[in-house]
Amino acid sequence: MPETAAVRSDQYLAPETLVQLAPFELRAKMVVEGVMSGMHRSPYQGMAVEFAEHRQYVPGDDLKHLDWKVYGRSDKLYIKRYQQETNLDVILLVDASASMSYGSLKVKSNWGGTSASRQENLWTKFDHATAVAAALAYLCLHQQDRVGLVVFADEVTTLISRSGARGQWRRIVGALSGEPVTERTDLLKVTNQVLGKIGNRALFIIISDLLEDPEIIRQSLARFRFRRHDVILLQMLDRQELRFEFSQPAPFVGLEGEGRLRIDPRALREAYLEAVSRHLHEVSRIALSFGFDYHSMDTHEPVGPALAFVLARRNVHIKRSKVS
Amino acid sequence: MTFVTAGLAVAGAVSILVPILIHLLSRQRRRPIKWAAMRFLLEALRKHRRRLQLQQLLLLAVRCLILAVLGAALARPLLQAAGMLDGAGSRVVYLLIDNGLASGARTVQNGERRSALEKSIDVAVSLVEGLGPGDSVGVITAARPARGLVVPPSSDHRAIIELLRTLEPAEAPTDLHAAFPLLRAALDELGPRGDRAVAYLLSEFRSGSARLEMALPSMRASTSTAAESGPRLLYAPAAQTVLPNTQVVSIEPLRGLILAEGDHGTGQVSVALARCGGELLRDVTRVRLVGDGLPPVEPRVVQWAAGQAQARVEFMVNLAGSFSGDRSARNDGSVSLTAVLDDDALAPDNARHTVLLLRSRVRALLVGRRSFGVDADLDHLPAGQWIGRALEPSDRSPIDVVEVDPAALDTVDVRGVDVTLVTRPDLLNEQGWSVLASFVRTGGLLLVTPPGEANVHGWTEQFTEAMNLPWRIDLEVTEPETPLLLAAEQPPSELLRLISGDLAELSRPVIVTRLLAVDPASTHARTVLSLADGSPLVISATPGRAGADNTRNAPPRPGAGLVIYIAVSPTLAWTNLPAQPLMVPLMHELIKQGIGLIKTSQRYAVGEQPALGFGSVAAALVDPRGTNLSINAEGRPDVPLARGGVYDVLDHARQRIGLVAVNIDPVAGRTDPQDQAVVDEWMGASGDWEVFAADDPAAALRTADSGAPLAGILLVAVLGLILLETALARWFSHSLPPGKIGSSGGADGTAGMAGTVSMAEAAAIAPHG
Repeated sequence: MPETAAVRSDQYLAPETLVQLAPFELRAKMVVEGVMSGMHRSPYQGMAVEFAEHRQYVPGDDLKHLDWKVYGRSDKLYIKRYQQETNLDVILLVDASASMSYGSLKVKSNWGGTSASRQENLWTKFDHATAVAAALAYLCLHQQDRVGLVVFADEVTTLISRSGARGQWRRIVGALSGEPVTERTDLLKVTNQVLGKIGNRALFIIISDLLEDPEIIRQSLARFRFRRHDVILLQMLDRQELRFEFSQPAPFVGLEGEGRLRIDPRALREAYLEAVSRHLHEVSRIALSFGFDYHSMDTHEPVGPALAFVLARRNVHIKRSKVS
Repeated sequence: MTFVTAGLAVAGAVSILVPILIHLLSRQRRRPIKWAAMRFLLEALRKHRRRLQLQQLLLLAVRCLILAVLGAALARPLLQAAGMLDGAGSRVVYLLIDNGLASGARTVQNGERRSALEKSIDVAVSLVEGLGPGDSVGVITAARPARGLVVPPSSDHRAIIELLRTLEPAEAPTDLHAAFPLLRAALDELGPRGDRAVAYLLSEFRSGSARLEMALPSMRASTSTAAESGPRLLYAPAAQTVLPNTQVVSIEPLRGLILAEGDHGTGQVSVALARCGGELLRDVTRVRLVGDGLPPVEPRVVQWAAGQAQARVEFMVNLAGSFSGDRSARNDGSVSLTAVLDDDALAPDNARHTVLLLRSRVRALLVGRRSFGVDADLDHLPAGQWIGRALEPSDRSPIDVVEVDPAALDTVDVRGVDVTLVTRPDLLNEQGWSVLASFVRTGGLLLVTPPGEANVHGWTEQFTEAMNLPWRIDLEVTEPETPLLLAAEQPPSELLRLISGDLAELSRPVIVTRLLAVDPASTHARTVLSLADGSPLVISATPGRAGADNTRNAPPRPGAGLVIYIAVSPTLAWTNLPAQPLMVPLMHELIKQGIGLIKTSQRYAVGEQPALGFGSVAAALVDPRGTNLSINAEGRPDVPLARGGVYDVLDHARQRIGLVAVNIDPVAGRTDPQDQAVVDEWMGASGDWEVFAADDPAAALRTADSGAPLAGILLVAVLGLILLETALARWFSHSLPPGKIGSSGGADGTAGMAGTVSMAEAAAIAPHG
């Protein structure tokens, strides 16, 4: 049987991944507009179907939202606020730049993978990113959300419009598996291109190694925030990038054309780890400053548990924000 | 700084290349790693580039230094020049080894025959072996010519020992008089280190080595500062063992020229023997005579009586076989004779050599003006004719006379001539005197008489100047009132040795009426015949340079000819000698013995570098072992004659033109033990010499403690550098212990750092956590 994109896309969602994801529901932190009734909060508060909270009346409020029952019981004026549950638009932004082709984990026979991993026989960051994207797409589609896909490097290379239709997931997976990984990253340009095409609010899940200048990341996230989108940053990093456990001097060749560097890794390890740590901390701080979720994922670890953890934390956060 | 094994020092220096090559090669062999997070590497590198470069350079320098210092340490460097360690520097030991002729005398020790030199070498080797690696050793040999074999001293002890093992007894005499200044100069060159030097004189001080009658040069320090604490001077105790040795002290042919005719060519050879070495017991010595083409000669046996030290034996030899076409006959008719004794304690002095001239005829050149016309009567017969008749009294005379006019004398005339007789020196021009001077200097015999025809003799000055003789000959003829007689008792003369027995009888009728006298006080010549008043009638001398050692009764100078002056013109107007029976034997003996004396005088001593009497014709010498020695422009061999024997003289065409006999100095081979007290006094006069103990010669070295060699310091430095390199390499490698890997990233709470993205860590850094 010839190996096709469809076959490989099946393998992205290994049963264990789906099992681990099943108990969770993807919830947008923000209320989003939706054309379908779903499980996400609507921005049309006060008019929709589900009561949300009470607020003390102040002069100028529309009297039609007064809760007369409360007034009758307590002789106090409270305004009723509502939330409308809507469908969620989820846009998956998957980084396909050359840096994503790095991997140090040997590929096992039934893992499937992208063209990048097939070349080196290694599980690359792009493999991990596509696996995560496929899982999230499946999950969102499963709960009636519309899912779109943007694959980018220095610009948008593939765009699959949002849809909740059957077959959307296969289209997404098919696009991911065949994507070449060659160019540099230009997150700001990609952000501009994407935001130019997405009018309504959506949840953007950026899956990238985020080896960009933190200032670029900050500017990019600021634009998302300005357009009142929600963003989840999922940073894919190989374990070797995180630990830098090379023992012999060797030339290092940049995947995005940074040139060749002959170093003794042992001598630079401490400084390198310090730089990585500083970068991750900076990205995390930037994401936090915009109220976005940020998670770093080790490509040597299984996708399922890590993704389940991400979703669990997001649900906890949303419930907390509801209570508050 | 010098090194015992300089090769190791070089290897150490070269091995510096090893880490560099390893570094360069390792750079080439690494496979490149494709890497995504280059920005962090670049950032880290930017931050630490200078520090890393410094670390790498420092590490490389330390590694190179380790190899270089290790090589230098293995090479055992020594501090020699004055420096910071000079005060505690190395010891210097100078070994002055007597390798002269007497040092070759062998005694039986523990059943083994060993020479004094071998024993000295054993002592020297034990001294060198007992030295530390930082000590240095110099070696000077005392055999003539004294040589500084290792000067300045070397710390290569192995090479020194190998050199000592190669030393052999020379045939030249011990020359402490030349060796002491060499040692003194070598010690002076040490400068401040000379205070720590120890000089050993290794000799048995037998009479052949230590000439106690000659004072030694001073070995005291040349500078006053060094005198306060100079080097220690030690010498071996004088040997007291009896060492009997028999020598051939001379081999003298009765006549140096043998005239052979047919089978007849006999000559008499006298061989003198001497015994030395202490106790002289009854003994028997057999003497053999061998020579070129010489038929076997019956050996002579000397029966030594107890206490007898000298003996003489005579040989009659017939050398006609050597002359008659035998291949051993030389181009110039030279043949060699060697007297040989049986082997004894000292071998080289058991043989002695001489060279004879073997001829069938003698060529004489008569330089006088011939008178033509009617024969003059006897009273007016010129000197030339008298001499001619004396030389050729019959047709069988072996002397051929050729006449030449004095004014026409040329180089060609004297070529192949054995003797030149000048009866008209007043007619010689400047060229004539030059020709004669050259003739004499190349081994010719010149006989000069005053011209009978003149009363004022201005030629005498030219004569003495040309021959370079200090003679003072009168300018005017002396006419005594009463005729002078010859002395009844004539002085002994080699020239007239054969007729010495009849000389008194032959000279009695001779009277002298006119005389061109020489000043006996200033002649410094040998008197052959003297008048009754003591003034010389016939004198002889070897020409030489001004101030040469033409001392009275001294043998002719080697390698040169002979000049004989007869103070009367052999004419009847001057003397009745031409008409007396003495005339013929006198002229014949003067010529024959003169030629023989010149030839046999070409005997040289081992250790000398003599001027040979062959002029510029000679180009090379071939010693008895076939070794070629060049002859320089002065007519001297380039190197001193090292061994006794008969040497061939070659011309520029490598043709043999003569022989020279080279003999050892018999005095140098004397093996008499000498009293220790006398030796002590003799040595003490030279300097602060002390006798070292024969059973512990190194005792003095123990008092001069060895300085710290640099090798030890360098080895400690290498150890320190290795420790430093280990520490630096570990520090610079930034290798962290296994437990620390992976934990450094989480320390600051940053997710993903060091790769352990555990759930707990992720929760801790989650934005909303």
